[in-house]
Amino acid sequence: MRTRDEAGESLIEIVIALVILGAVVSAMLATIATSATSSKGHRDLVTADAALRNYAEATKSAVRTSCTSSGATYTVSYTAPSGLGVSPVPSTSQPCPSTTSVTVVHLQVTLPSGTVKPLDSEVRAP
Amino acid sequence: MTRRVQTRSEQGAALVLAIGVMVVIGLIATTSLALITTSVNGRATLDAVRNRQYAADGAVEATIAHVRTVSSPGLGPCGGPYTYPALNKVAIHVDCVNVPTLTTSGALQRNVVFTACIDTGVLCTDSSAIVRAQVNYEATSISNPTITRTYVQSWSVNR
Repeated sequence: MRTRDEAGESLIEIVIALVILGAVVSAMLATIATSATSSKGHRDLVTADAALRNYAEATKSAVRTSCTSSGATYTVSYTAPSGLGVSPVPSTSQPCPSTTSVTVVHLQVTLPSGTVKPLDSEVRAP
Repeated sequence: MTRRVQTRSEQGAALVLAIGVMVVIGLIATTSLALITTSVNGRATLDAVRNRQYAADGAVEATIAHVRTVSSPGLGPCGGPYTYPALNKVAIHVDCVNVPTLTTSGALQRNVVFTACIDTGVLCTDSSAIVRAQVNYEATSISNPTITRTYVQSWSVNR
């Protein structure tokens, strides 16, 4: 049986519990937001990785098919996924490497966040 | 028969419940953060693998081009081992070995197998090989050993 001295204590307890729960729920929402941001960043990195690999392979393929004679040039045909920037710009003519050496190609992909992912590859004439 | 009614104070019950909920949600948040951390670490590992593979790829390409300049590739010693410290900041070691051929006349096969691995100062093994490639060096003729073209016969990326 509730005595007179306990009057109002349940209300205080409920208010305190609500404050604590509010703080916890806020933290939980912040965690979910961080998780969502992290997931998007991760997806962008995976896309950038695939773009780098595809661009590198497209470059090697262009050299293999175009650099069959001295003084030739090659042009990379590659379209980056939307939102990503690649460097060097595809579809620009590049001089072929000699038959006894390789050319280092510095590839870069720029993510929507501005992060730049580099990859060096080497190409040679067949 | 009499029934005994037990009265208990409810004081602090809400606090205990709130603490319980906090603990549960704290565990969920910790798990979520652990997942994020694992994801980021996994991404870094995949980046390292990609850089390693393209470093090995480039090192084999460079070695193929270099061996083209040695005397009678596929027949004479192919030299090496070769090391490449710069590409993607990964040091790569490349071994090469001539492949014994069956033909001894006509279109003589002049094949070389290249194996690339992380440079640890020792020869590459099957378990450490990153890229293994077999390349055919085509000469103008048997009497003229000048290499006119190379053909990649196999190219495997192992790890």
